[in-house]
Amino acid sequence: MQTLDALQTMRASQILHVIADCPQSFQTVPQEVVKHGYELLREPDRYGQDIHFYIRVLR
Amino acid sequence: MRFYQKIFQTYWNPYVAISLAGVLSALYFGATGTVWAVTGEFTRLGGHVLQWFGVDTSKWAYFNLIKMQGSPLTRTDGWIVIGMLIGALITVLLSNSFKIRVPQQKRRLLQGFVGGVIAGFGARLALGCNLAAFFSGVPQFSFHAWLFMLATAAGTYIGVKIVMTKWWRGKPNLKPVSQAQLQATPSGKKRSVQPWVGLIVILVFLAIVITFTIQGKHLLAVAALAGLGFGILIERGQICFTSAFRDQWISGRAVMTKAIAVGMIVATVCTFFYIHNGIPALIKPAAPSTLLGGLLFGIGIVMAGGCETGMMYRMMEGQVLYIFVGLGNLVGATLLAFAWDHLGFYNTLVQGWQPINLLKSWGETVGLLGTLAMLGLWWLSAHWWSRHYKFGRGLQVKSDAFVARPMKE
Repeated sequence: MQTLDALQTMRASQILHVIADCPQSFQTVPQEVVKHGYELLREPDRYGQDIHFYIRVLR
Repeated sequence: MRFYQKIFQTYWNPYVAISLAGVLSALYFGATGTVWAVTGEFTRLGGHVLQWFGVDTSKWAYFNLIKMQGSPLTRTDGWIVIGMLIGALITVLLSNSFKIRVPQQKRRLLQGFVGGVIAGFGARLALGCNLAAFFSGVPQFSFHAWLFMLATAAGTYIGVKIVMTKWWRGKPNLKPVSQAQLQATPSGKKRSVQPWVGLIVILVFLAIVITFTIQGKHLLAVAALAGLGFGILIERGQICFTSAFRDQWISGRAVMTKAIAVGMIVATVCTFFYIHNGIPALIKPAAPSTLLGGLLFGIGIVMAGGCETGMMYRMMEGQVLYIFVGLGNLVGATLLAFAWDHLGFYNTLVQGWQPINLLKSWGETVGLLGTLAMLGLWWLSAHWWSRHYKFGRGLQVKSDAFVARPMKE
């Protein structure tokens, strides 16, 4: 939710780097950002127990 | 190694995981005549704690209703809970996802505790949480489960309104990055002992199950194994009833909702055969307490960030918050046990209301088909909602402008 909130305040082509350590976000973050018209730059990376997402604002 | 990675490095499709849980819960009902449930046992635990402190609970009507004999180690419901915790722990360890996670904002701990109290109180007022009054209640054709579900949906809506407020959320730690920083991500994967610990836990648990079998305590062995299966499924599928309701109100995400609807359809069909062949269905009163309980439960689980099952597997992932939620649940359930007769909750909200068995009131065929139709309708409405609801924009029936673009590459 805070990810979507932050994305709404950002300009086109800015990138949001989200670091999450809640396993559930592995599914929810990609599903929600794509559903709302943002672009996932690449597949989420997993380092140990942390998950990194890169999300680009399209417009 | 490929197979191992597929099972443990990626989460399972929620439709598959929850359909398996539906089959398992029906099998468990067929084997024991009881249903997959957890909060009854939480309440008993609360009762045991009161007894340690010298409180005489033998005259409390609620404890007599849910039966306090034995300890969690000698009850099937106890082993369901233990099995679920261990099952989730095992897959967390095998997938190397265990980490002590303390929320960035300390206020979350208090919020989780308060939410846990409200959810525990509500769940027991309705005589069951998201399992007994919902996931395994609907397949029992108990009408109260439908009331609970509607009230929970309304409750989660109120809960979302609460957690969306500024004073609840506080400030997140978010800032944009540049292209250069983007390249410099941490690298390297450390080898971990977690999978080995997981393996040891499996062996110890299996030894316990084998001991039960040798001692002739077959029901406990079945409960422990079923609990283990449930724990594995809720963790691997990240099955979260809270998010099934909450995410729809917040962002319109309905994957979990639809998966749960499908899982319940599977459970309903499987359970029907057992009931048809003579195992008595477990029907609970459809009373104002069901509605009020569901409403409170819905508000509570959103405030806590997890329902009774979601809280259990997240606790095993090392999320400290959910220890507070779990404690809140215990306190809430015990408070309800007190309020049941001492504060007159039973007399005002339950007494005089009858259990309604849909298979009896509608007849077997209509009861089964009607239940399946209602579940199908729920799936469809969730699907419709997810297509039209957008975060920050609300419900937009006309599909203008904001269309998701496909992912590149």
